[in-house]
Amino acid sequence: MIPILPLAAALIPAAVADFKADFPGASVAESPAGGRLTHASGFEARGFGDAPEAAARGFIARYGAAFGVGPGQELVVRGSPPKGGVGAVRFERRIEALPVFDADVVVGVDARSSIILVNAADVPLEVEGRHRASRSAAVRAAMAGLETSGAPRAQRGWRASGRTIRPVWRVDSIATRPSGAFRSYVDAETGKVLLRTDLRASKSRGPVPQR
Amino acid sequence: MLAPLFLSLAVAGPAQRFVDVHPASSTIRSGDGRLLVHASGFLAANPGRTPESAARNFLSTHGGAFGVAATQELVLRQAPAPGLVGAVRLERTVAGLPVFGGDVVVGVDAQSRVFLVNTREVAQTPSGRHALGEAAAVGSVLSSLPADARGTLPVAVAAGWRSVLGSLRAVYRVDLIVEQPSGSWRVFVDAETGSAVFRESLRYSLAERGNVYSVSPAETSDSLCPLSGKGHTLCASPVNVTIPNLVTGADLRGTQATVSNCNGADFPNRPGAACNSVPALTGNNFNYAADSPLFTSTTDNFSAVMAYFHLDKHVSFFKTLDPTLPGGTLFAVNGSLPAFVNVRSGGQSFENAFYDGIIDAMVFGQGAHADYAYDATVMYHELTHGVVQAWGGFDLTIDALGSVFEGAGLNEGTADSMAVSETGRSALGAFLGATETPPVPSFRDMNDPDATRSCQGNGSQVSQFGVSNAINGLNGEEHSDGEIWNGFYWEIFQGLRAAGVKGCGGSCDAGPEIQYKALQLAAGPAAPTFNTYWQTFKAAAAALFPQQPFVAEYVGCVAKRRKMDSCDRTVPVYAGETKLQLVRLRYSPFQTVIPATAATGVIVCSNGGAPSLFYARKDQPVKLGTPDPTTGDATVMADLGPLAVQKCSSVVTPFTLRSAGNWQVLLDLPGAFTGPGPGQELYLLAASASGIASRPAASAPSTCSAGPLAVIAPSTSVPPRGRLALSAAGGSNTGFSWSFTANRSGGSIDSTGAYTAGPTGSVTDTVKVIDSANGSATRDITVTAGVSISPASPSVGPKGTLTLTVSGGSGSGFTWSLTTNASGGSIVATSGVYTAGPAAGVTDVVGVTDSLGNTATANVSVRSTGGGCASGDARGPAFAAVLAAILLRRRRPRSASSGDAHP
Repeated sequence: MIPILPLAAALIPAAVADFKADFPGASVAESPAGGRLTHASGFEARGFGDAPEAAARGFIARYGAAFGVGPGQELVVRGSPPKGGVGAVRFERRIEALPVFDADVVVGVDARSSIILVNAADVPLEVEGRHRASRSAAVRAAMAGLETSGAPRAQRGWRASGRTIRPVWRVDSIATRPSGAFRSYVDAETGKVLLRTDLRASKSRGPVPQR
Repeated sequence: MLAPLFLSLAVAGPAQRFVDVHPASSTIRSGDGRLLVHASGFLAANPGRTPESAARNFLSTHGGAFGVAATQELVLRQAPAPGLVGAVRLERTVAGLPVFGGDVVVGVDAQSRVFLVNTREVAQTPSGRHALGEAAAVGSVLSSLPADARGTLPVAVAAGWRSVLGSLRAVYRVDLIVEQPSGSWRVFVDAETGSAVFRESLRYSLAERGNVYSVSPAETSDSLCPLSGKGHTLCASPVNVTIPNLVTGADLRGTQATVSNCNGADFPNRPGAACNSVPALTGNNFNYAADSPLFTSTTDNFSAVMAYFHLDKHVSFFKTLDPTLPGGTLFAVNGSLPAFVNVRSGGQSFENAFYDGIIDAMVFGQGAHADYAYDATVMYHELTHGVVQAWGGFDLTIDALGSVFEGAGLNEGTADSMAVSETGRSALGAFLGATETPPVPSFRDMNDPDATRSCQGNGSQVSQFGVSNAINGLNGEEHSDGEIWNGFYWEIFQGLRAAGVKGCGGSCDAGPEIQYKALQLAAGPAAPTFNTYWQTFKAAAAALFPQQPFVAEYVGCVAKRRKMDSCDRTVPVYAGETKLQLVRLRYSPFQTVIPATAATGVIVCSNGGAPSLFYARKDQPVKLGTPDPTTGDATVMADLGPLAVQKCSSVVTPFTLRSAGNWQVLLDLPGAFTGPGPGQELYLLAASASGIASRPAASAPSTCSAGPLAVIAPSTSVPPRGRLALSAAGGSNTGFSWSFTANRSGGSIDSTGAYTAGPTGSVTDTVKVIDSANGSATRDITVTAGVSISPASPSVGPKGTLTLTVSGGSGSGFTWSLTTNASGGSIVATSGVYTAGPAAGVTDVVGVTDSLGNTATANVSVRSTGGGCASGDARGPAFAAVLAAILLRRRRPRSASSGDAHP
């Protein structure tokens, strides 16, 4: 378990209040679990930097706690618009050099590199568990009930689960029965499948149960 | 210790000197680091009246930094006119021969100041001689081709120089076309030795011709084919088009799309896998014949050409909207997203198409009656899924309120939105619809009534999953939920287009530019919701159109009118209503809210009978806590449950909600991730007809406009005391306040725009609205004539009869009366038929009132002479009354024509 300073968690409500006080006209969406912001728009924050990435980093350094960016999380830039462009500065969160899956922080900038938007996954601060399950064990858990034709891909990382961040294996596999491209997150400590989604997006309505 | 610094300055090369002079410039150095191949971010004012002289003066100072040597002469190839921004292109020559690929491009601004240099690293010392001769050089190239090469045709030979690994060698440049294997090649041959020093394909980004449908067999680029019954006819014929951006032209590998033909095989299941390449036909074209009218071939290459052309087109469409490329390794927009056509599944027809996020490719099925690659709208849709994934994806998750599944619907809605933005028409899949049994107009339509609904629905009963009486709103099926976004987007697209708002600096519609930017801003973090996505869309509009703030205001207005701001992952279910919910990610994608007014019951049952649990909580959401990492089960905060959900049947026992309150219901499918495949279950919730509040009446929707502020009136005229519900649209679309600039009728108007005319008729009032941005608009309202009686001053003998008529006012609901009855007469209240009394030489006063309370009066003189008849008429009152009745039955206009009266 990675210890989180109690002070850090306690700072989040204050950080949210701070953001709202500085940008009273902003539209925000809050995490259903309470506390963190997952979206903010309708505001303009200037003066954090001349270039999009620098401005986004400056803004996150100031207000990141409101969006659940906590100590122990490293932000690695994944994309940024050119200077003068309107677009998204995309950060991947990492913990101990491993990615936190589905937890990007997107900071929207306008042509003057003012911050106009933040979209952030709801990621708690507390990290719990260790990477103990082997790749093969994770793959076995992920493939249970699936008939597959190819070797699955598995990647270690972290994922939010309830009020903690858990160590996980992300396992991608193509199944022939039932047909689909399945992404499973397997708890890397317990081997339990936490979530499974189908990455196939089709043109029509998918298989629908008949009444 | 200053000596080393002086020394370094003294020996600094020309590249470093340029950097020292222009420290703020951005530069890129050559591979060996000695020279610059690019510089920008500086501004050098150079003496020179023309762009060319400015560029030459600049290079006389700094040319060495860019490898311009004394042995090289610079020959002007291109320059902008004085006063224009542009490129001065200079070709390097050595001993009168060109240095191939060695041009120096100098950017100048309108004041002929240099702001950019682009060039290539060119070795400075020439070596070798042009000893071979052109004919020998061509022979050398031809002998280097494969033995089976056919149809070689050298088209150009030129002597010159080329920089090769630090050496500027004498070369011949030979261009030739080879028929088999197909290609256009440029080969540089060493002019002394005859060896090929470099070869490149000139077909990179070159184009061939090919046959495709411009959209589909049921749709041309101009319009949909006519309907026949419910499906569109197949009126379109293939057209011959340029097939752009091919890598070699030999097959359908391109720089933006790559298509292979599976010839009826199952689709590939591994990243990087491919089916069969599709070769160009003799003559270097892709003029394959369409598989019409059956569309059942599993091997036709027309299908592949169709896919290539339209996928490439859609990539270009995205790049027009925004040339910024997503990072990462996924191919869509970044490169050449693979596509497979003529695909089957398990050896059977495959009636679908999809983008697969793991193999990062698109699959287009060969169905029993249709080839899914024959409909461009399907391909635009699937490619957009790939683009969403390349930007980070709309990943799904589970949070404290249940599964966060709206991202799946938003992914579908975004894919539909980008597809219709290509065609400018609301229908998707007209061809596929036409081949269904029975035919349908499309597989989705942005104008579909389902696309008008909000997340929470309005109680309209619709058919879903084969159930005909379910209420609308979210249901957990992504394509269906995506229609909520479709309706929102299509209104924005059309509204901005109608208002003449253009994106991309005037070269594209505003709608897709905003949508693409919203996609970029939303993808990555897990699980966008309708509420965050529309606000992201609005923020994108504000950033892209900073000089036109009404664009973002319009977006916000449409979103709120469609209740996007109420999308909170709940759907209310009122008395007697039935709601369906598909659960895919273990927990409900939305919580149903039941407004119980007393203890009551709800039926909740599952379609398939999968083990499921029911939870309910009064006046707040059911909340999930942290899942146990060993069992995967989350703690659940609820007032009721867990209770087992029964399979739907005629004997399902209702769950009891114990008291009045807003009960929120969450369903749990515990086996969703542990059973065979992704678990899913369809649930039905039927609310009791008693003990639950009835659905409240809907409020009138507001109006939104992307244009200037305007007053919207249901009518331009109104009678005195009449009412009009005025509304405003456009401008900021919000914060309206109402007033008069002219109030001649004595009317009134309230804060909602409800206008009531005053009692004075035949005048014009002018109302004014001001929006939150202090913009204003006015509108004239004509107040029509007030009530009047005809004849205005009639006379009649004692006991004589006349029929009075009325006009003006509301035109209805008239009531007659005698306000003064000196003669002892009478009047029919509904018809205005007046009969004087016996007293003569007096004046009666007749009054009439309309439905709005407008009144008029007329004096009737009862003459002192004559008998029982009105003057000038021999007929008696009984006849007049009968005639009047007949006239009224015939609904003729009222008149004073009974003949009894003398006006």
